[in-house]
Amino acid sequence: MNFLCETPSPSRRALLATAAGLFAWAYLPKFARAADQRDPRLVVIILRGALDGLSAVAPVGDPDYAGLHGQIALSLSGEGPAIPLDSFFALHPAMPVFARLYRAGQGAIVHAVATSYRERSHFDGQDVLESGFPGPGRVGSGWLNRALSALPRGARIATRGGLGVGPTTPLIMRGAAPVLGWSPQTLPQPTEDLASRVLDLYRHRDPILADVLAQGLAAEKIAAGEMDKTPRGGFATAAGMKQAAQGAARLIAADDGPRVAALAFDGWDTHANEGGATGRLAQLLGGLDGAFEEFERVLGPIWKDTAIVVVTEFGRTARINGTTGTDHGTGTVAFLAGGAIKGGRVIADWPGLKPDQLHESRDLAPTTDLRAVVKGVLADHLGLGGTVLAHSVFPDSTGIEPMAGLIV
Amino acid sequence: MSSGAFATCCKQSRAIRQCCFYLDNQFSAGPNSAFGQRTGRGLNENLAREILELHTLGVNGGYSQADVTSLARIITGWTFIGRLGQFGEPGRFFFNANTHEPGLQTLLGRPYDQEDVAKGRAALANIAQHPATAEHIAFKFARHFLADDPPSALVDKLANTFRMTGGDLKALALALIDSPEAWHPERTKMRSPSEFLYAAGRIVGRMPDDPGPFLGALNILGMPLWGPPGPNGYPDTVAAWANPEGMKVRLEISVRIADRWRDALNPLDLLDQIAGPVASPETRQAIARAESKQQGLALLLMSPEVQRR
Repeated sequence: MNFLCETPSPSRRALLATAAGLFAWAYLPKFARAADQRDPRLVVIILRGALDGLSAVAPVGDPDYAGLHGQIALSLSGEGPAIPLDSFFALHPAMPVFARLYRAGQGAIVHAVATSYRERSHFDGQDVLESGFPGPGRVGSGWLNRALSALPRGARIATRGGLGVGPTTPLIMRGAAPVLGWSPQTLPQPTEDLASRVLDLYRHRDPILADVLAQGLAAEKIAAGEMDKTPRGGFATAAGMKQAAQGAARLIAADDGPRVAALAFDGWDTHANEGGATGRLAQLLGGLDGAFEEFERVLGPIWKDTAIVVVTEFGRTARINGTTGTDHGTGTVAFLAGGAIKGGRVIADWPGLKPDQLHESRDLAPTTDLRAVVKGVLADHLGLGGTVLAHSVFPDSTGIEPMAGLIV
Repeated sequence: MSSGAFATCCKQSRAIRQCCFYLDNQFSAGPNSAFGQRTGRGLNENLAREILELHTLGVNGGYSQADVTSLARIITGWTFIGRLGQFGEPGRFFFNANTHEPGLQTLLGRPYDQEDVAKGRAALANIAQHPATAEHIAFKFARHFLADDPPSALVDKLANTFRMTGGDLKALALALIDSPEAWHPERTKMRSPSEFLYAAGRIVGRMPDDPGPFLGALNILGMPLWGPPGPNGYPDTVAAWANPEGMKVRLEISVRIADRWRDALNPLDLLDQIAGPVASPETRQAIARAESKQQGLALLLMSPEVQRR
């Protein structure tokens, strides 16, 4: 039943277009293009360390917010005023680019959102966030990779594989579908001759290393382009986030490059001196904002077919702690940006911030399951069906319906 | 932490003061301490949580949020001497009674009513001997030396040794060496970036003149010195290190090292020294056929014999 009722989507339409001749299967990408000019790009950015959603997108209209967030609470007046999004929510002032996208209908926020994880361990929380399983466990694949694997064989987006940015591939992108790894480079290149000798040795003695090295060398050729090669300060700095976004955007913009990318930015675990309109979190949010700008700039005309989803493992305590920071919490925000996003709104079933409304009397209560948001994007942007989403991409999630209407 | 009792390691002031700084404990204050009462400052549970989750019991070790909060109260006041050195040498462990939460605390069902720093020492000593800690440390031990997914019989055996000896890490190492599983000839693990760089240094037989390039290499390989991505430390699995970007950078680094030594070293002799009879014929052939000793050295550094362990 579910299969018949699913939302028409690009790849489903593509499938119908080729139904006339099964032999055309191998040429599906060409037909898909003829039937529908869209060649969607999906970028998932993980904020490691747990983002304080109440500081990123402040519920300034909630009477309890200012008291709980104390001296780091944002407000619409004073120095560094928050940017109003609607009559209730305001965006952190370090994010003017996202504010512009929001006003242009290309940025949306889902608030009071969380994964199914209800404990407070970063590592288990990230495990759930990235594996897509309902609870932590030692699994070797992530939901984004399984989403790629679930796409129809031959679909353009599936054959291109995924892109994992950073010195190690994030769990969300590990799995059976091919993954390209790339990170901003800072050393000179070895000769092709040496590289082929090493690859030849690996093919005979260590096939695993042969695969990963071949991918690493291929990625570098595409990403290097005209890029500024100055070493940067890693993925917890604005410069590092910008450089990562620039390289990733180049790779997914390339004609034969991957169409789905995963990035991870670090440093969001703001236990002490989190800061308000300025300070530590403000710098990180400014870095994220710069990454949005870089994607928009480099992707150019492809931006209209792009969806960026920004997620974090959980939120932080609603009340600031004894050290002007916040401890591990539950509900937080997810950002959606890109020309493919039906934006200009904050999607929230607001739970309130009174003591009895808080989760375990301490955290913003989650009212939206993050899987519903991601499923909505995967369904309408990449054309994945509900059954696949409920079983292989997010196992045991039959009750979590894809959120409709997130994609233009 | 090469030998000796695990409990002693847990209490070593050097490790503790670094953790205090890394995980915010210097800011944590008991709400009922003199300082807390005066300023209204309170607890920061960061260090307490990670002690239980990462360093001792493990995430499934059977502790609750209440235990985390309780341990946070117990270790209030655990800090280090500041830059100005008012209380001694800057950086040394220091117990600040002013921020210590007074009174009885219950942790994992046991009461702790010792005075000041003794309370935390007693708590850490007990946590370090906990059965869940034995399981957790035994698993990490076997995973590090043997395989990402070590045989559970071996893990059980190590956990048992841990319990019997009160957490003697030397005994744990000897038990591992005594196990037949440890003598498997296949190299199933990947050398981490630092292990690879140390190995490369030993192969060329030279201490780096300048730590800069060495530290830079660790950074771009994703293993910055004393800067793991989180308090759980650096990854310890093959998948984490055998990845496209990492291998590409290892190749670049091998090129740099080989460029430094040029033709001064004979890579075939070095292969004999490091691998002897277990070197594969393919690796030997690849090095022998290299267009120069320099290229041969780069190939040696990239060979499975060096990359794997």
